[in-house]
Amino acid sequence: MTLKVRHLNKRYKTTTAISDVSFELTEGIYGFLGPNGAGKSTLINLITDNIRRDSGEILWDGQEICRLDKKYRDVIGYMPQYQGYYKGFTARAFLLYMAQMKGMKKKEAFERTDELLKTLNLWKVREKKAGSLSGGMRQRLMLAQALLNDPKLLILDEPTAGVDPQERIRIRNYISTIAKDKIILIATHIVSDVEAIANQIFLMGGGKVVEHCSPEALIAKVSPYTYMTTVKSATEIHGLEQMFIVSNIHNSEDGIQVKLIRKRSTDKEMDEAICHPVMANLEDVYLFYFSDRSDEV
Amino acid sequence: MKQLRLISIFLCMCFICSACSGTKQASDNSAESSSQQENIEIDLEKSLQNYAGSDYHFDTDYQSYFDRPCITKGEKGYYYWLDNRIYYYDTATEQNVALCSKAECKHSDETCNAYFNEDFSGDKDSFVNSYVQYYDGSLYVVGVDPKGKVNLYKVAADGSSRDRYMTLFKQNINSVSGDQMIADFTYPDICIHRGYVYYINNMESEPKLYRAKLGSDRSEVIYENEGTHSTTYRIKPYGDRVYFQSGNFTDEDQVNVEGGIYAYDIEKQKVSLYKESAISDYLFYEDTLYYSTAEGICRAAEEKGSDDDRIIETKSSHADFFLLNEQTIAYMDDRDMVVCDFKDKKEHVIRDDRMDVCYFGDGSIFFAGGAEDSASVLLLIRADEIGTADKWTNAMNVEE
Amino acid sequence: MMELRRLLYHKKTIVFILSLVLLQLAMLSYGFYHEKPEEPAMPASQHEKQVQDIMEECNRYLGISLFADTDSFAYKNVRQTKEDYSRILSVEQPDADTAFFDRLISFKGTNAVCIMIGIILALTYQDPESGGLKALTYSAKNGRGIRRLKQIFVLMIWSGIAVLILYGGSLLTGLLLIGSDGWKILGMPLQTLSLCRLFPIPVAVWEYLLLFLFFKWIILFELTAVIWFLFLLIGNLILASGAVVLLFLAEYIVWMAVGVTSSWNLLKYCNLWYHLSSNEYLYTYLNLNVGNHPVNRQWVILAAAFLLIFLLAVFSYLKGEYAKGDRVKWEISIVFPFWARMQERLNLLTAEIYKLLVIQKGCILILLFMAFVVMQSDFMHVSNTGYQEMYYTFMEQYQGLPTEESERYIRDLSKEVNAVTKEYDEADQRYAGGEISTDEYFSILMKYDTFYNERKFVSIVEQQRDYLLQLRDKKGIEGWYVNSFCYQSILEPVLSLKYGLFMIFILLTAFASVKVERDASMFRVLNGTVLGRKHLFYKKAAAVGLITAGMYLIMMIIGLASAVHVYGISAWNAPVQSLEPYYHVPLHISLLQGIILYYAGLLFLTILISVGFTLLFQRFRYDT
Repeated sequence: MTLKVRHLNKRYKTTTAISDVSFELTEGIYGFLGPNGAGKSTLINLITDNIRRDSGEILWDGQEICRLDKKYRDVIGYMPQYQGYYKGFTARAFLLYMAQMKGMKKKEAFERTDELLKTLNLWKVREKKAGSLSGGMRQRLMLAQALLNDPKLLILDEPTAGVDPQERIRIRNYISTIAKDKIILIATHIVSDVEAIANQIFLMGGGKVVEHCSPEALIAKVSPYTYMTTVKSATEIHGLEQMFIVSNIHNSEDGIQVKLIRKRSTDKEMDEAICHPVMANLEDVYLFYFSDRSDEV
Repeated sequence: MKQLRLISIFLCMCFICSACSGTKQASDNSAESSSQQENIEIDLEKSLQNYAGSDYHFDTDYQSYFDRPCITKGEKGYYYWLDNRIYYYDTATEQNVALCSKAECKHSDETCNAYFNEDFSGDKDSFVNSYVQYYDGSLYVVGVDPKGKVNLYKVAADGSSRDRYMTLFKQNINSVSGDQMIADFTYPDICIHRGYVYYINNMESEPKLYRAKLGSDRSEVIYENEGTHSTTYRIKPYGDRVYFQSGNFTDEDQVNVEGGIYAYDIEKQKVSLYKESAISDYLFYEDTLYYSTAEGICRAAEEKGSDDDRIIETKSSHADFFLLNEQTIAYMDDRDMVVCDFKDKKEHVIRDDRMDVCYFGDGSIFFAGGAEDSASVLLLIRADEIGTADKWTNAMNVEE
Repeated sequence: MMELRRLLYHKKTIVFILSLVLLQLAMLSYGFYHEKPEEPAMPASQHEKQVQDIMEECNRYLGISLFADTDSFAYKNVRQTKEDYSRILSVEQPDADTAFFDRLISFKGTNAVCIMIGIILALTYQDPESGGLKALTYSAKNGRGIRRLKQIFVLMIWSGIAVLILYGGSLLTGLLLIGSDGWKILGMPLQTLSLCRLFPIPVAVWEYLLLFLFFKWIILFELTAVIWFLFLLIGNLILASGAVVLLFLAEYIVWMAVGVTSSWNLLKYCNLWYHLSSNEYLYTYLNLNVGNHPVNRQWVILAAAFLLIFLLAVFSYLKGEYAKGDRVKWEISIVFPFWARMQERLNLLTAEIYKLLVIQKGCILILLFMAFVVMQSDFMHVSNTGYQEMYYTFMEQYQGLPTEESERYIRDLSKEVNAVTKEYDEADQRYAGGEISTDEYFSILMKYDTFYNERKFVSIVEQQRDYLLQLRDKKGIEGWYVNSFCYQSILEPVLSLKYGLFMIFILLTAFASVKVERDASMFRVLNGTVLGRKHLFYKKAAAVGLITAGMYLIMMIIGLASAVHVYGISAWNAPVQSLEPYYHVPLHISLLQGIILYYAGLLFLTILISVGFTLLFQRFRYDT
């Protein structure tokens, strides 16, 4: 099973939302990282056929998704960025309704609904109105409806928005467990959502895919630019910002430990007595690519 | 010759006998019209202030002694309609005042307590200027609201408040404009007696007599004339009976009626025919019926089967009348009030050009509506003057 | 102080308020220069006599039995009136041109501007329920009840400032325009003003104007406090605005419905609508019955305003203090599980119907519409006019094919009516020519009037007869006499208010089928499901079609039932062409068949329109 995107383009009036994006996905978890306005949600809407593309192709198993129509929608599960639900429906009733929407038979719908409610810890609140659930519970409800038809292509747009760390970890772990034999797309600007579980990361910025490879490869690329130093006062940090991106500041007994990422425009080698190299993480990668760049890679 | 004399005597005898014979009439009692302007002393002790009978309760009984319901007796005075306002005539001081305690009020618009709108313009209540009744401490008047509902309104005795009290019936006059409404709308005959409202909806082609409990919006039919071209009118409650007249028009002009007086027994809730062929004014005194006919005023016989007694021959047919005491009657001959002592065969006429319509009275004062110097006025005569006065007295002694 | 300054941060609001002030100033000045002042009802020279007349009238009234009961309101009112007017009996009034002052205190344009300023002030000081602002303020030490009281206090201050600017500005402008005469008038007795000749308060004009300003201040404050409180109570801007409109509408209706002389007239005068729309209580004398005691109207109004403001302050304080986190919400434990079960068993079509009727509150709209249909039906018909009664009696007897008897009846009655009409016409001419007396003329006129119903009846039935003759002659169809009132009620024309509202109902229902998804942000999710596109749209169209068809059937049943109830239908077998509007119907069918076709056709049209509009509105399913 493959999802191929070829030379996809989308413009909104004067703004280019997606510019010549192409990639191919097979089973696995794919993280789409990028700042707000990078084009992640537009890409998702194009893949779910919610908006019209200007040009390009989206192929599922070699066939154009528009031509597949219902057959394509039968294999996808979509969790939108903004929670969509009927306030007056109970959690269970909402899932049963969505199961009907997905063309599931009654018996199968009831079984699957109850299974997901239990799995996602929503069983106790199954008869509460969706509008009265907490933010985290609603996110789980959205995830549950996306999983109802056991989709082959699972698309999650900001799945952990507005959710506490524990909840975030729970959702992330759950996604990991169900990832076998599925293509899972996670669009997010929260690095930790995909850092531990994604097979590949797509960095998106300005409607383009800036970089895509495995998290380890990305880290390896950025690590040579990553340093740690200790300063005495906060004013010294301002001086460092000319050449570096400040990734982390930590107060310790020895002074202020500052993690720095050298800007790509700076060729100067660093004096290792002052700054010693350290291992980068995905946040550093994010900063390296998206914070105040004036030149292209 | 002898035969001729006998025939002549016989003929003379015939002439003499014919002068003495005829139907039983109270010709001994009828006053000759030639004996005009004789003063008649009215014995007030025998007057009919309580003529409504021992069963009469002032607070809750209809005042059948008035011939028109546009005047009513209160505790210490009289309320009456004049130019779409209600006025009060104080018996003690003989003063008139509009039913409005606001001394600064001009009594000329709806802000006045005494003023009642009579313009059927369709956006406010309009009132019937021919009905007011004092009942159990309050006044009641009739009006129509913009939706065509005919309502009874309760007015405080001092005029300080006025509220819709109950709905009698609804007229379908929604599509009718103001002028047409006036042409189309005929006021009901109405009276309140012992806790019930009795009324006749004159808008019906065959009017029926209805009854509604005071304060309730539900009415019941208590009498319906089965015949065609029927009419029901002149309700006069006395004690535990409500009398009314009903009949059928015999001509196309709907002027001549054949009918009678009916009695509705309040306790038994049954209607029975009381008197046939009595279609004009009538009254009861001590359970004896007096009624007007084409020839005069009759007194119903006490025993059934006996002939009624025609006590007065009137100058006009079907005259409205009033019994002053057991021997004196006042009746209307066009605009003249003729006071007749039918025992002493005396007659006194009060002729006053100002008088338009006589309301009669409660036995102590008699009222009439009239006009003087182009203004509507209330006229009155006291019971002790009625046999001697030449003119009515203008009761309106207050400038507006 | 920060609460007070809060308004100052809304610069656009201040500019708007000032422009309103200037506008009303312009209107006032324009009116002063261009409108002809009304002649005073009473010149100054007659004032003393008028007051004396009132006092004498009071004395006269006290002697009359009608007002003699010392416990009655009327007696007390007369005494109060006498006492009040005695205070201005000896007031001297110089002659002066007081037109400007009269206009100032009676000008309603300023009232309108006051209302707008009141609304603006209230809106400025309302906090939205949603968003973080409420959470911020409620967690602060003085952020609850105390804050509410401060806001009310501030509204009072701003109301006073607004009134001062509005009326004070107008007064100053006027004084500048009039010149020194205006200043002189300020020192004269109040009764110098022609509007206030009989207003028994023994004060100077300037003192009266202060009192006037005070009243206007309290009234504006009252308005502002009421609107502010409604917004506080309801929270939602749109709902609160609706509540304000409803409140004013209710007050207006009460003001119109309660008569001046009603025993409920306190409701009329203690009424915000009245306070805002009228100034007469500040220059015309009236005592109101308060617990059987006469109280001057303006003091009643002032007391009512103070009471209302006090109550609003108390309730707003309590509401502010009530936001406690330990409030427990109770579910309806019996009903809700049943409701949940029902939701779980909805199929796609019933889910769409559920969304429309429950989520979008369509059931409320249906109830309102049904109430309207019932009100419009013949069930509300109470009684008939005279000619209608005659018509129904005729139909009861002669309904069916025209017979010799029916024709004879019409002919005879027509002859009779024409004779009376002719008699009246002749009498009219002769009266105009002085040939007959007034009594004779009125006697004939009264007779003519009594034939009103017969005339109307004959006109209707002759028209029907002529039509049937035409039908027979031109089309060869033997039409029947049928009760046209009855069938007009059943076969109501489509271009009517009822059907117009029904059309609006269809449109609203169709639009709601889209709106429910937009409100729930569900369209993108549904779009990604197998049945979430065309299939869903068809279900929506079916749901809307079913609902509107159901509504139409209920309308039809109510219409038919009410017609049967009032008229008692018969003559089903009559040719449909017996009714004049259906002259051109080419089919040879009976009335019954015609009615069935009529209703079936309208039902089909209803479904077609509703489905069509639903599918059309699907184009607006996305919110961006």
